[in-house]
Amino acid sequence: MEILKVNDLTVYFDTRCRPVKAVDGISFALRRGETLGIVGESGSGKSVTALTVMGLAQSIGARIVSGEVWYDGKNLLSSQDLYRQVRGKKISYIPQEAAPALNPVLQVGKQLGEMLSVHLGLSAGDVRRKTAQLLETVELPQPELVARLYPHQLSGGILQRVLLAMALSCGPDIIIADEPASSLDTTIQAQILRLLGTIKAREGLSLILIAHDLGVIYQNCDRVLIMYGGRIMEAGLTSQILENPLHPYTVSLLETYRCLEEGMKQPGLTKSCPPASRENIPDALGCVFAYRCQRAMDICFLKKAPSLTLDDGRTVSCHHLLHLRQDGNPDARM
Amino acid sequence: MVRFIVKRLLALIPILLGISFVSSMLFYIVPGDIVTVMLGQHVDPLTYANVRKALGLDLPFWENFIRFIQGVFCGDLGYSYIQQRPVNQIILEAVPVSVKMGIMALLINIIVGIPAGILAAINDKRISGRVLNSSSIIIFSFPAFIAAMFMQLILGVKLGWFPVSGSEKGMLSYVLPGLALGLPLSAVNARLARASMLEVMTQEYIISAISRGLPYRRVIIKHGLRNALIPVLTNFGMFVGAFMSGFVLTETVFNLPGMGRLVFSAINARDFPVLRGILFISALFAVLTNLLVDLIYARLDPRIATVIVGENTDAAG
Amino acid sequence: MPPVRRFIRILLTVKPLLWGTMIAAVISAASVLAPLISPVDPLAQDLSASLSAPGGQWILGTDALGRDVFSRVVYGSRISLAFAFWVLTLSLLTGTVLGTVAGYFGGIVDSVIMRVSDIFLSFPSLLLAMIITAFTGPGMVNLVGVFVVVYWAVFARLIRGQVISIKSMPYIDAARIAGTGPFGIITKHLLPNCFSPVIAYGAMMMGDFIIGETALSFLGLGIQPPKPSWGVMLADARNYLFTAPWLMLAPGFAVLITVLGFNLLGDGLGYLLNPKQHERVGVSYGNTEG
Ligand SMILES: Nc1ncnc2c1ncn2[C@@H]1O[C@H](COP(=O)(O)OP(=O)(O)O)[C@@H](O)[C@H]1O
Ligand SMILES: [Mg+2]
Repeated sequence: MEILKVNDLTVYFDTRCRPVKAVDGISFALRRGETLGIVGESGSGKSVTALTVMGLAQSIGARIVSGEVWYDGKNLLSSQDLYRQVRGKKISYIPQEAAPALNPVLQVGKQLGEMLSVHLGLSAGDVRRKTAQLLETVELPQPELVARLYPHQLSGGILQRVLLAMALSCGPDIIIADEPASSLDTTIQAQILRLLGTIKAREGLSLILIAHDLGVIYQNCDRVLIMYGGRIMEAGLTSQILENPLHPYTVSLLETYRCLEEGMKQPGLTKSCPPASRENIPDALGCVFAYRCQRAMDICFLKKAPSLTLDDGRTVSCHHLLHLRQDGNPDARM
Repeated sequence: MVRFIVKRLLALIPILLGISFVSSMLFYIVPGDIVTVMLGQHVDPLTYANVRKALGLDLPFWENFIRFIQGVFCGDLGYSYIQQRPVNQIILEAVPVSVKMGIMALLINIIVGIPAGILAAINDKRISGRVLNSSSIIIFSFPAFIAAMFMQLILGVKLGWFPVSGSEKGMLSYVLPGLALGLPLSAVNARLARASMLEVMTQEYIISAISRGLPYRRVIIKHGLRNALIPVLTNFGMFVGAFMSGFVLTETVFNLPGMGRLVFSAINARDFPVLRGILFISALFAVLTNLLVDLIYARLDPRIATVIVGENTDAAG
Repeated sequence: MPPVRRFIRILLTVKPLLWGTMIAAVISAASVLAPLISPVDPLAQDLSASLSAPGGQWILGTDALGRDVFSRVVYGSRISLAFAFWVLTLSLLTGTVLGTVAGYFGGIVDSVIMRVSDIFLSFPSLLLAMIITAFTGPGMVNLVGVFVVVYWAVFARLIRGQVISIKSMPYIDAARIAGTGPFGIITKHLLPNCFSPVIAYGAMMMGDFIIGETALSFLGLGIQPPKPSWGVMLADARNYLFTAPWLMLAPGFAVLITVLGFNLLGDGLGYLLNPKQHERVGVSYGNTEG
């Protein structure tokens, strides 16, 4: 059962010179109760995707060129009013960094309570009780004390939990977490992810978990989208993709990850190419990854790779597979 | 908070000494002989000596400076030989008119300036926002006394809506002066509020508040405005200074018997003790307002009382 | 010529800059070319033509002494611009020296300079200028001196703030390690990099100085009659506000437009020199778009 479906989403930033294609025609679905990971290096369009799904593209100055976001039988992108009914209530968002996401001049309890009174219409007393209860749910030891403090008086880990409590406050169906706690140290990050997993399982939520760390994806996600340059390179079951990558980008991501994990000296990522020079590449006619791909062929620079669904259910966008398939040998590397 | 207040009060001491120092310097920068400049060539020698002594010019500068400070503590700002009265009495008489005008100007400043700036920011990408922004820079370029004369001409004479001179018509007499003084400064406020609001609206906590599904109005008012108004508030100290200068011009144009016109007449009459007194009082008032603004600021922004204090606190704008 | 073309393109995209530059250029040209532009001597009296309304022989009418208002307004720009230019140059110079010394060396020097500037900043600036001038006496030279005394602290603070923020940048450390002395660091690295906000601010302050000169001349403290300062003209016009309003309107608009020009220039430069504003994406939310 698909609870959220995104079709052909394209989002541009109009800059002085030419539009930046932050998200370039991606489609995916989130199934009820699953955790969908989105992974890709910085700048690959993960956050813009998440914010657009939340209906916040205009708020960050982006322009939606095309696309649909289907939830509960409606295309949310067709009207801001639809978003007003689901945002915070049915679909919650957890931003990457906690401190800047909270209003510096309001106590955190007030900001949490605000959601309860606005969305659920609770009375002041109920708000106070529910606030404390929510803060307890996210395993904060002294909920009353935390509620009375201002963001600058709390540590990043605690604030991240407060944001999690906010996301949970109105009993949502879906949580979109954009690299939660990735700026904090690994132990705290692990704690928060574990907490998120527990709560998700208990409440039967569906989760989109954005990460740049393959380990996080591997441990937490049922399925995964590999994003690069605003497009989806490869998508499918996490175990399949991470254990048997097909797309050269996924392969190199994994290689890099292994190098880091095993402390090997050899840098894994293919042809290094700083983002600045990528910006100068004329709008990619072909595959966005072609300029860094070691296996790139002429056609990769000329023609967009169509996404191909393989027998095991995964989708890959790469000319190589197409060629292999035309050669009558689709599963050559499997 | 208590520590913060104490620190701010202590930081006031050198400023107050400095203000007194500058004020007591004034008598020494007059080219030629100050008593002759004040009372003219044909003053009789006895008066000359008395005045000179009373101004403290027979003493060395340092003693005079200390005498000035002592005087300030006893509420004594000197004696006007032109009006034959103590300076503080003269100033006190003029204060109410200026206060009324200041309140009028401040009200206009707040009522017009802040909403205009916030609206300009919220509608930044639309025509209405552009119009507000461009008109604010035009209004902000109006010197108060030229605005005053324009208003006298148009609203007072051509349309006859308001009295153009004097203070006999009660609060109505203060409308035009208040507008002339308040409107150009309200444009300053509008520009500041706009810039501040635009800045705040790009902050992540605003986007985050929207993502939590809070209604637009609530996001703007509760999360946007509260943060955006903090820098606007801290600038209020600057307005007090601007008002003090503006009184001189607008009260002169509108012929209102306040502190400003007192400055004008004291300048023409070379009533130096009055001028010194007014300069000191104005600076004192400006400093105290800034202190008050700082304290309110510390209350509004929970980050302040723990962070600033001391070194980098900007005094006036 | 790419730089010229680039400049024109910037002008066309940043509207306040375009208008500001145009106004400032026109006013400056008028002040330089005053003898060519004005039809008659601004001081020449023609009592037979006293208080003539605008039109005909007198474009902007004449004043009580039969002097040509247009010529006086044109010559007035000379006084205002020259005054503002000198005040800006001298207070900027003083402010730069003191601000750099304070910011770069810090410590006790910094404290002393900043406490002194605090004192000057705590006075209402224009009132301080008025009252000091009342003591020192009027006249162009006195007025410039007084304004420098009143306004140096503003620039000193601004420059000090810039110097402090730039001083801690890695490239300054790099220069120091490369053996550049304090003087070299200040002149080669600090000052060139801290001037951009100062330029925009300076343009705005030109407007303030022009208002200041006009105001003080209006009160009889600045330029003395019969010199054609805009403030002097406005003071004369007060007596005829209702019978001969052109006497007030002409210099009034001259001041307004000049000040507006410099404010627009400052605004445009501020926009141009502050890269953060280029990328500004306002949050717009709700019904209109989306
Ligand atoms: N405000 C913005 N203006 C212009 N381009 C932007 C803006 N925000 C993001 N982008 C561009 O959009 C692309 C995707 O960004 P993002 O979604 O933040 O990446 P990720 O979250 O995967 O690191 C990047 O190339 C980035 O340069
Ligand atoms: Mg991101």
